[in-house]
Amino acid sequence: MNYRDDSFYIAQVLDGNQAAFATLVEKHQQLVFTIAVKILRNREQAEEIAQDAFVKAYAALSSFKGEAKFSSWLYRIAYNTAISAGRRRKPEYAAIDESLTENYTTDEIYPQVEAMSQQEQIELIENLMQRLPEEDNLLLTLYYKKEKSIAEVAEITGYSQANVKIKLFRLRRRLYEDMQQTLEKMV
Amino acid sequence: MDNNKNIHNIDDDFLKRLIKLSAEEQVSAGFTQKVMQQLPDVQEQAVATEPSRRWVWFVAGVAVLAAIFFGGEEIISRLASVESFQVYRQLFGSVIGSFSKGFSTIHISSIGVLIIIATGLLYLTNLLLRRWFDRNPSAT
Repeated sequence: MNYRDDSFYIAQVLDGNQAAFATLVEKHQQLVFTIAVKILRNREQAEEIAQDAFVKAYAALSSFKGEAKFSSWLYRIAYNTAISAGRRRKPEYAAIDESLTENYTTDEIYPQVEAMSQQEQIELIENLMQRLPEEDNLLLTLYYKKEKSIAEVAEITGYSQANVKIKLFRLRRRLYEDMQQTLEKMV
Repeated sequence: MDNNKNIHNIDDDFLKRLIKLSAEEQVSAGFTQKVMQQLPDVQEQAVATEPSRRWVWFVAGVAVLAAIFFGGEEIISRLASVESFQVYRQLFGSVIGSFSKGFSTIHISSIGVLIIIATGLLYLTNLLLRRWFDRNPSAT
């Protein structure tokens, strides 16, 4: 479906046409849900949180000034709502190694992964990402899968752009290290 | 290894292609309708769960108790003697002055009148808090 710019639908909603909000929901529901499900790792709860995020955004739409992109503003609401909902849970994952040394060589990893079938590649990456803490999993998804810019990721998560870059650098290294270990076990 | 060089070393087509392969959970059918059904209730929900509302009633209670114990005139005279209050007094001198005069000339001792005044002030506080929460939905 071809959508118009968000500002068109926002103006319609603010003009009293509530049905126009449905288009905004359809347009952004998948990423709002993805953000919630990555943070909460629970499909049912994530759907509820995604709905809450849209309702909050609707209630606050008149205060949206258009200084940031509407999508970033909406995703930020979804992110904060999901974080608040999942805050009671204790972290279950080990902290990322802070050293700057890279303990992997892509020269060894690339050919092995390329030799795998697509299904094996999917299983490998899903398994590796599943081991990461929720927020780290989300950062990788936003940047590499959804191709959001550093600035957008920073707006959504509330981290500074420099912090996002550092986190992505460490996550990338961790993924490769874990990938190398997994491939060594397979051999 | 140079830290700055590594920090910028995040663009990775291999990783991007691999992560794009990973499955994405799809939002269930009827999601939009579920959201739209909740929208008409936004105002009611906001009234029922608004965090500011609890604060309003809490402050209302404290104000009424203070009015009962100190009396309106004494509250004004006490406020007027606080140093930091003098700044506001200068800024809004005429308003506060007439308010203070009104209290001293009328000699309000009726709790009912004090409650009405407290309620008016709380209504304004409520408006300010609601505006703040509406502008910061991510703070809730």
